[in-house]
Amino acid sequence: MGLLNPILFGLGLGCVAIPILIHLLMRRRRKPVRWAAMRFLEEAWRRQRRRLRLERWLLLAARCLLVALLAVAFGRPILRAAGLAGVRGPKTVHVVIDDSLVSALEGEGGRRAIDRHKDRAKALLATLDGSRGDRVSLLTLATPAEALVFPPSSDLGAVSRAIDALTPRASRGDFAGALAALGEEINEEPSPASVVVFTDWRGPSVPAAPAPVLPEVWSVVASRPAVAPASNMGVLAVTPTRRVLIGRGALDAPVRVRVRRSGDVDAPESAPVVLTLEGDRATTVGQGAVRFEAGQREASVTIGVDASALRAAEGRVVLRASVGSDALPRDDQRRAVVTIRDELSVGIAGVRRFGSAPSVREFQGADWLRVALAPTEDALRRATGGIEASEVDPSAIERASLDALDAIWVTRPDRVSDEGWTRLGRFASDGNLVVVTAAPSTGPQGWTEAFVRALMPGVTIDREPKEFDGGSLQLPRVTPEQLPLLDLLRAELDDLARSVSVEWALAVRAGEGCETLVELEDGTPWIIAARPTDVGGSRERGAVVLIGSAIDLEWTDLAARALMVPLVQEITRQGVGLAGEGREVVAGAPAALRGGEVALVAQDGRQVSRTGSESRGLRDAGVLRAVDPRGATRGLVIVNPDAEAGRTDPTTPEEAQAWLERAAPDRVFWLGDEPGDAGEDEAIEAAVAGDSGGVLTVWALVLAIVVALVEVVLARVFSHADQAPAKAK
Amino acid sequence: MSTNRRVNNEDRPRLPEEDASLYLHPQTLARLKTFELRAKMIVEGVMSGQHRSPYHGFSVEFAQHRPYVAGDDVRHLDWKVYGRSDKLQLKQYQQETNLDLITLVDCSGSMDYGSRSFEEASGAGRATSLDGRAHWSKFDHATALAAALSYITLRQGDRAGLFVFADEVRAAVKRSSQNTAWRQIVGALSTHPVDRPTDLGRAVDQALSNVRNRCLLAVISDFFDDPETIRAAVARVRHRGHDMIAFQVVDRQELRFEMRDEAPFEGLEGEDAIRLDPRSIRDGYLAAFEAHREHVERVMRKFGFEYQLVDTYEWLGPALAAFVAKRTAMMKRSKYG
Repeated sequence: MGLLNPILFGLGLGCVAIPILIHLLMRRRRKPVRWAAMRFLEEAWRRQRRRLRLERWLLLAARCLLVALLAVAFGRPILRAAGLAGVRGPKTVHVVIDDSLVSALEGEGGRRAIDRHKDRAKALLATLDGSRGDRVSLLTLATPAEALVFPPSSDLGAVSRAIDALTPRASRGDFAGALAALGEEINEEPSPASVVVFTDWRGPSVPAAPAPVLPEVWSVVASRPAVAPASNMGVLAVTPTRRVLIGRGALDAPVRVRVRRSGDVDAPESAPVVLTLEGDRATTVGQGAVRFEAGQREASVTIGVDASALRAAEGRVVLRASVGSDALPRDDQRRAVVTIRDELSVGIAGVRRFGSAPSVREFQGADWLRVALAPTEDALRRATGGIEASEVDPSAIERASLDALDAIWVTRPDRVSDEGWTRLGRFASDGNLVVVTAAPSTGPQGWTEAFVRALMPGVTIDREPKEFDGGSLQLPRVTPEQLPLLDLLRAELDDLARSVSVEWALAVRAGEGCETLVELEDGTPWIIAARPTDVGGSRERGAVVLIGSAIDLEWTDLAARALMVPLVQEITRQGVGLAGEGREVVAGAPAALRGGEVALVAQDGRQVSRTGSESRGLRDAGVLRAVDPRGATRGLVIVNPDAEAGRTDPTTPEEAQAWLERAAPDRVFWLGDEPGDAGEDEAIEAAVAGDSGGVLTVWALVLAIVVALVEVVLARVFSHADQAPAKAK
Repeated sequence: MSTNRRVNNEDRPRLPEEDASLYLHPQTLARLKTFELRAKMIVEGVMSGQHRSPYHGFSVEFAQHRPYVAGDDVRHLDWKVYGRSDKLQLKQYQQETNLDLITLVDCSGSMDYGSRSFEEASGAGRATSLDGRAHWSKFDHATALAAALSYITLRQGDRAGLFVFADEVRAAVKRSSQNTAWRQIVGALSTHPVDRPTDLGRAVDQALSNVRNRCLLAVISDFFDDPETIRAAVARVRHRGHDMIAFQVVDRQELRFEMRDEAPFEGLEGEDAIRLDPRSIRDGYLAAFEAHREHVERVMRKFGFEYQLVDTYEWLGPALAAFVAKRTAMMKRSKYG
């Protein structure tokens, strides 16, 4: 027999002195009573002295026993199987194994952390006996945490086989999720159980969210946090400078690769980065090297892509960036999708013109745009690929006309109906680009409310435009992250923007979800980008851009400045690329299916997600095909490793202890550093004896209640308080 | 004194002092500063019908009538007067026989006990007695009773004597029917209990050593003495041919023992203190006390003597009535042989 809380037990035993002290204090000196009939008192006292003394001792013993039983209960006694074989009751153990990305970290001899966890878990299973009623459940830690065997099963062989099949995943550990997976068991009337966690506590193992509180009769046993530093390098991001490559002549868009290292970062380091085009035959399309200075954790390298390799590809291609292999190879690769198109189809919703082309003096916004979108000769454009602009009637925006477009510029928003705005909103949410400028009239802008409601709820626009009297443009201090449409122009944009003069502009205030790309001198946003809000509230697709002035010389001379063409081109090209983004997800996050898609299928043909089922996070990195009901591929979904999950920085024991203590205060036990270490057996024993300990605690409490009741009865009887007063003689 | 007025003015509201029972109540008596006055009040309250000749007792020579009061022997009722006037009148006779009263008052330590506050007992707003006591002791009650008995006896023209005793006789007044006897008795009663135990046998022996004629012994004590000693003392009284009436004076707390808090109990006669919880021992105490009380009563009855329990919380009427009845019975036995 042992104790899980020997300190509490010791303190409780010390409290046994309390009733004795009270007993002694009650015997303190009292004022004597002068009494005449002493002979009768003495006679009665002599006769009852033994009984009274017995009553006192019985009461004192009951009170001491009560405190001692409470001390035993708080001490959480456990029965050791070795000493009391056959006495202990059936055990319930919930085994949690860390199979997150960092569990693939290789240690000495190339042995992975997950292999150690599996061995220890199986050693624990060996101490249990299913035929005696012991039950085990198996949960994995990789996000989303999964209950592989649940509710607990007494088929320990099946649990062992499930442990053998575990492999490292690409997502981070989710402790809170794993404990929450036990929710059903927790919420039921809890019986004693132990949660045994096998993990190295590296990287983001300790979540920011507080741990769920486990039932009081549960204990937690965990492996100790790893203290040895482990160096790791992982690809943090792969960002093609253009997501959409148009035509055949300009496919040399470079790719930026960001790499992070963790562990020992004191020394400078460099590592090769290779870009590969995935397909039937992996083709290397670029190479580079990333260099870290001493203490530097993140570094980037921009690698040019071999255009000839891309020319051979069509549609969506997958680029894979790999950094030199290390102790944790799982996060050494990251993928990105690049779309190759012959041309983009862009609609311009302005005033339709019939007949001959207008002279420059008669140019309106739509005319300036048409020139800016297709500045080259038609013949040249057709040969090299480019943007095909078409007119759209702003007062009759139909779904059919939008379906053929990749993007739409609205220069006459004042002509768009409410239905038109709704259709534009849906168009954007489907992964397309919508660019809206102010209406040419400097009077009240009546369209703004409908626009905000349908496309950009994060902004506030005054109806009355504001006069700026020749204000110039500038770049905002904050660099946009979601929609960096003008990133390629950034080097020259400052000079180009300064030459533009703005007379009138909408008074716009950017709110949540909006990013300012260009602003006026006084800080008023002039070009704002945002993701549209679709029905499901998702913000992963589509792009909406608002330009604060009409493309009209009365508002601004932008159309006559050098900025006009690159601005329109970049907004359109990058906008279309970023609007169609969203098919890249991080392991652990769910991948939503789009219209027409019914399932996501892995390369080995395994279905990992389908419509109608709960959208769960994907644990493994790779390329998935989104298929329609006929099995035809509708698109690709890239699942990248969770870059955070690759951090190998150790967690301090204090942090781990503090987090677990919240789940099971004073009921957390630590395993040894390795199987067979001192304390390992005891901790395992404490874990598997947890329910016996709980049973004994319950029995101790029951006994304490019984003794308390007996004490109450004895105190009542021995007080003789119920003696009826004597009748008056 | 007031009987006349009450007879003549029956419709007039009565003053509290006119109620005899009030005079006999310790609360009323305590207002009076001297035993002398106290005894007079007690006696005249009991002898409430006595008017024309307060010095007359029951005898064979008719002396007068007096109204009947509760406790009077109905054989002395004058039925002829009742037939004429519808009033119950007792015939009284000239006294011819003398009866000596020897009162023995216990002044042992145990008689100093009293649970009743002096302020409540006195009813006069005094928190303490003249000698500084805050409680109304059994000895206070006993002295009032002794004085009353002596007064009655002296008023009848009989001789009254007094012995105040504890383990031995502490003060004595020789029997006398003279007026000075009353003063001497009152003076002897104006003492305090001593820190000594009761030895009734020795006190009786000392008191009766020089008594030759037949006497009535009134023993006023709590009788907290050895039962065998009590029995032997009473037997000796009987052997010598005397008569006896025992007044056992006890405090109500001694009768009921209703204390609650654990405390050391300290004897008044030098006994060792005992620490105990009163509630746990109450049954045993009450049984022992009652057994002793019954023993005293049984011994008295066995030898043909009267026994009267006197509670210090109650008035003296019953005790005095018992005394008067006993005395009457003795007079008759003397008269008719």
